[in-house]
Amino acid sequence: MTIRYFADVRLLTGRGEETFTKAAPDLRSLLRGLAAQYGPAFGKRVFEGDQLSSTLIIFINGRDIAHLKGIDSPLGGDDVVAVFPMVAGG
Amino acid sequence: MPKVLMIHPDRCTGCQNCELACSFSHETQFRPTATRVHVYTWDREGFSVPMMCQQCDSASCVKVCPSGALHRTKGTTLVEYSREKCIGCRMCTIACPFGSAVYDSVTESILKCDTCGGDPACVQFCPSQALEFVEDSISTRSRKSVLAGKFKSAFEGA
Amino acid sequence: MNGWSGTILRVNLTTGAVTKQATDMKDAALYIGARGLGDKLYIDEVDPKVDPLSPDNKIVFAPGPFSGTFAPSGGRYHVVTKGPLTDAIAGSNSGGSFGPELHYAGYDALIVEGKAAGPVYLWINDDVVEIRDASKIWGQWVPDTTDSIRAETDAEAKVACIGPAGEKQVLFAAIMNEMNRAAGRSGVGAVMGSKNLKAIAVVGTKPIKVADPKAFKDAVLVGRKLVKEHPVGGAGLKAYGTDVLVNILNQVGALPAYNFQDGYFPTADKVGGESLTANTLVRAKGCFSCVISCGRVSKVKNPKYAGEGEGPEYEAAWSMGPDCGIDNLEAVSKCNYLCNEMGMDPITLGSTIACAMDMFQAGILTTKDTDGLDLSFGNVDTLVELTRKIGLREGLGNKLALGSYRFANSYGHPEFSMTVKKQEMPAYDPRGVQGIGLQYATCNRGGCHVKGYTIAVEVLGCGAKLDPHATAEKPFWVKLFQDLTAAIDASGGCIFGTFGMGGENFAAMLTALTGVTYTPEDYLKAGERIWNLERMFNLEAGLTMKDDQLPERLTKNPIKTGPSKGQVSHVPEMLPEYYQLRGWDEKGVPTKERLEQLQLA
Repeated sequence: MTIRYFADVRLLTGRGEETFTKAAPDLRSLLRGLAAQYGPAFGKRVFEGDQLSSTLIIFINGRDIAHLKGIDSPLGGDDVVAVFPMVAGG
Repeated sequence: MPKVLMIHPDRCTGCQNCELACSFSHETQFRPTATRVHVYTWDREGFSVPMMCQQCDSASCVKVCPSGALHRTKGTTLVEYSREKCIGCRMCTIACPFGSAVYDSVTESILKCDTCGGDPACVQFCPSQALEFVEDSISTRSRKSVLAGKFKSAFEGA
Repeated sequence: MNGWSGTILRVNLTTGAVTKQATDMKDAALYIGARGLGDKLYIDEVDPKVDPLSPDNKIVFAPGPFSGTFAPSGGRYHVVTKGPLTDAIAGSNSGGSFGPELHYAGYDALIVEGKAAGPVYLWINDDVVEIRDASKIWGQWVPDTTDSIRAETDAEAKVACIGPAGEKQVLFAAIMNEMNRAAGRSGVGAVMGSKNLKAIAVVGTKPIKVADPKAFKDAVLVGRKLVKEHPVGGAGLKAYGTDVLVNILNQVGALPAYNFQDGYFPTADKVGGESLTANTLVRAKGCFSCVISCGRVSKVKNPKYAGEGEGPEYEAAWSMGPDCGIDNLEAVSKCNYLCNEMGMDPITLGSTIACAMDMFQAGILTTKDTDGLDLSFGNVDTLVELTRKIGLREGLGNKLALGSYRFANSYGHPEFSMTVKKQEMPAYDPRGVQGIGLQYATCNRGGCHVKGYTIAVEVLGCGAKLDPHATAEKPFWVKLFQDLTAAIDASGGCIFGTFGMGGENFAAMLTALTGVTYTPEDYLKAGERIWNLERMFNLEAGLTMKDDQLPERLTKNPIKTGPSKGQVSHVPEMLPEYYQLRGWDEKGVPTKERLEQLQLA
C-alpha cells in the first residue's frame, strides 16, 4: 500500500510518500508499524494514548476514516493512506 | 537581575498587537497616537520591526531634561518619567537618538515606554514572541545559540 | 460612543461635495458594521438595476466595530457595491490595516458616489477630507501608487488603490491595500476605475472607546487562547499558509483540474504549501491585530519569474496551477505578484484562462483568435503572458478581461465557463464535496467559498466531521456558515478566527465593546438579516432561482480520476430544503413572515 505524508508530518518521516510492504490489516497496526520505523516523535504525533491524535486527518483512498471505521479501518494491499495534520483553511 | 524589553525583528509579523495593548493598558481605549511602541513595516519586502524606548543607561533625554522629569533610579533599568515635573519643553524628543520619546498633544505629556510597571502589556499580547521581557543575560542567548549552531553544522559537514 | 465612531463620510466625485452624517444607531445595532452596515447604506440608496460602471453606482468602504481594537484578527474592512462581473450585490473583504485606519479617522463608513472629471484620489486625515488630483499617478501599478500617494500625504498613510486593471475596468479588478491585501472579487476595482478614483489614503488618530473595558479584555484573552490552542489557527496556518490545502483537496479528489474537467491532479504537490515553505517562503505575515499570521511573504529568485511580495494563497495557486494544468510554483507565484501589482482577482483570472484553454483544446479557439499564443493546458509561458495582457487589456487580454462567462458566451459556448452568477467558482470541486457546491449555488455574490466555508466541517474536521460525499444535513450547515460568516464580516473580524472561536466568543466581544447586548442567537440573527437583505437586492436586480445553479458539467459529468471518481454534484436535490430552512418560498423568494422576523419588512 501507498502512504503519503503532508505538512509537518512530512518533517517527521523525511519523505512525502512511501510504499509500505509489511503486513498491516488495519490502520492501527499500520500506524504502530510506522511509529516503530520512525521513532518516538512520530508515535507521539500520531497517537494520543491508544487513540488517534485529535489533530490528525487520515484518508484511506480519499475517504476520511471518520466515515469508515476510524483507527480500526481495515487496509488492503492497493490502498492509499494520506496523513495530514489539521492545518488550514482558505 | 533586572529585566529588559528584548525585540526580535525576525519574528515580527507586523500585526501591531503590541501597539493596541500599549494604548489599551495606558488609557483603556484604542488611540493610535497613545502607543509608546511603534511598528515600522516595509510593504514590498514584508519586513516589520517594533521600536520603543531602549531605557539607555546613559540616556540623552535625562541629560537634557531641565526639570528632572526624566530620571533614572540607580540599580534599575528604567528611565522614569514624572509627569508632574514635566514642563513640556520637548527637549527630550529632540535628544533621543531613537525618536522614542514623543510629545502627545492630547494628554500634554511625553510618551515613552514605562514597561507597564514591570509587566509589559506588549509582551503579553505579541502573538509571535517578537517582544520578550527577560533578564538581560538570557535575552542574548537565543541569538548566540543559533549562530553557534551554524558553526556546529559547518564543522560537522567537514 | 463605544465601538462605533458615529459618523458616516460621503464624497460626491461629480460635485466635489464632502459631507458627514450621523450613523443611524438603530441600523448599527441591527447590521453591526462593515459588510452589514455597508449593505444597508448601499441598498437603501442605490437602484438594484443600476449599471455597475455608471456614475449612478455607489461604492461603500466600511470597517467593523472590531477594526482598530485588539479583538483577535479583527482588523478587516468591507467594500460594498454592485459587481460589474456579476450584476449582483458585491461584497469584498480585506485585511491589512486600511480598515482600522478608517475607523481611527472617525468613520463607520465612507460612501463614494458620482464620477470625477479626471483622475483623483481621496486624502482623509481625521476630519480633513480632500479630493486631490491623481493625473500624475494614473497608470502607476499598485506598489508605486502606494509610494507616490504616501509621498504626497503621509509616510504612514494606509492606501487603498487600483492598478492598471482597475483603471482599464477589467471586470475582475481588485482594490489593493498595503500593496498586498485585496478586496478581490466581483470587480470592485473596476467600479473605482469607472469613477476615476485612483486611491483612498487615510491617517486616523481618534480613539475607539470600549463600553466595558474589563469584559472586553477578558473576552479577547479567552478568544486568543482558543485560537492559539486550535491546530489550524494556532500553528498550521502560520507554518504553511492556506496553500497547504492543495494536497488535502487533491487527496480527497476534489481539486478541480483542467477547468473542472477533473478533480485530481497528480503533480499538485509542486504548487502546494509544503513546496512553498521549502522554496519561496521568506516569513509569515499578519494583518492588523492578527494572532494567526497566515500571510506568506515570498520571493522568487529565478530570473525568468523573479519577483517578491506575498502569496500565493491556496486559491491563487489552484486557479493558475492545476486548473490550468500547470504545476510550476515559480511561474504561479510570479502571476500572483502580477495580480497584486496590477490589482486583479487571481481566482477569476486563472479560471478565465483555464476556460480559454479548455475552448482551445476543444477547437473553438484557434491561434487566429489568440494572438498566435498556444493556449494548451499546461503552457506556463502563455499563463504569464496572458496575465500581463489581461491586466493591461491588450490583444486577447482585452476579451479575457471580461471574465470567463462573457468570454465563452461571445463564442456561443457559455458552458465552458465555470461560474455561478457569472463569477468563477473557487478551488473545491462540488462533485467531491457536496455542501460547498450548495454554497457556490446560493451565495449572494456568485461563485464563492469564503462566505459559507463548509469545507471546515466537510473536509477539515473542525468541530464536526461530515461526509463530503453526502447531501444529508448540508443545507442546514450551509445556512449556518453563511449566517455566522455574515455576522463576523460585519464585525470586522477575519473568518479564520473561527479556527478556535465560536459565535458566542464574537458576540461576547461585540457586546463588551459596543455596550449593545448580543446573545449568540442575536449575533447569528444579524447575519441572517444581512444575508436576506442581500438576497432581496439581487432579486430586485433581476436574479431568480435559475441563477442558484451550478454549470451543467458539475451535475452531469462525473469526476474522471482520483478518490472522488464517478461523483457528480447533487445541488438541485439540496436546493428545496435550503430554501425551506431559509424561510423562502419554492422560488427562493424570502417570505413576508421571515422578513418580518428579521426586521426587514
